[in-house]
Amino acid sequence: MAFGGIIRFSDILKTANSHPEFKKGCVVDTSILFAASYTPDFFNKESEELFEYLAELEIPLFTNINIRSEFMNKQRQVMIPEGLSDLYTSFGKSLDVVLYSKLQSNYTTVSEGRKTGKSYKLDENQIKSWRKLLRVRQLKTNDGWIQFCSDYLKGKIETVWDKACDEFGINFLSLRDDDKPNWLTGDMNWDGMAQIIGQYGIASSDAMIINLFLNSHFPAIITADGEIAYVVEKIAPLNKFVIIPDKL
Amino acid sequence: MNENKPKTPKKGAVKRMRDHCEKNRGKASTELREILKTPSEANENDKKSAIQKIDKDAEL
Repeated sequence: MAFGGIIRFSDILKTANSHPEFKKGCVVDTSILFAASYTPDFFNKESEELFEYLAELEIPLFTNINIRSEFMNKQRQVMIPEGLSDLYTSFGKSLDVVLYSKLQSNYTTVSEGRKTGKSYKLDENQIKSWRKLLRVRQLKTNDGWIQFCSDYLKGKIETVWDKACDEFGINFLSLRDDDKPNWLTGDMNWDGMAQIIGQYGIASSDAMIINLFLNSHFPAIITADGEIAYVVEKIAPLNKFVIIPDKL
Repeated sequence: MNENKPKTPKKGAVKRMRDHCEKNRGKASTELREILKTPSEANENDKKSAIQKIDKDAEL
């Protein structure tokens, strides 16, 4: 295995033992935190094995505000179709035909995802479409969408991140000046992020995560996101790794 | 990051986290059921304006 570049999950024990700098910690990306938290996901099994290794090796994990924000958004994208699926089974048949048929279609897709082991996430346009459909159903001052959120998201989505931080031992990287020297090699600027976008055409949120990793003291980033893995492999210096699932 | 030793993942964390997500799922309330059974009547494009509507006839 060359120093720098890609490490598969199955090699992490060997690598951590031969490279003590791994004890400093790794940046962990949203895709892995999600796969470790939510079933079904394509990387469920591998992420579970990974976290057992990390616990055994006592390797700390670090995230920033972008990763937290993406994690919350992914949770929202799965909690909404799950809630709609629960609506269908709870009292779908008592609803009008338009709503019933849409709920039935959503239920079928969610069920298929569970059978095939892949999470079903709604995109923004799909969520907007459901919001429009539910909010036109109103009673007194309340509308269907607000009540749906109250039943299926409110007070729940907030707890998921806190629980993940507690169980996965996530350390949050702040940009406060007095904290920076602990994890940053120098001044991190926005130009670095823009250059990554310009060079590789990836999303700004991914570019921010990569920029953070490149400017950190940490030797590795753990991700199941093929885009991030591709760019880090191309861009990272020889003392930086990207750790990915064997199945990616 | 503070000067204390950083946290590390706990053993068995994934199983507990997934259990939490399973138990954390919501349930439909009777309020939601009543709202959704109410026929939709509002036009989606018919947004309410915060500006008071002027009665043009009254101005004349």
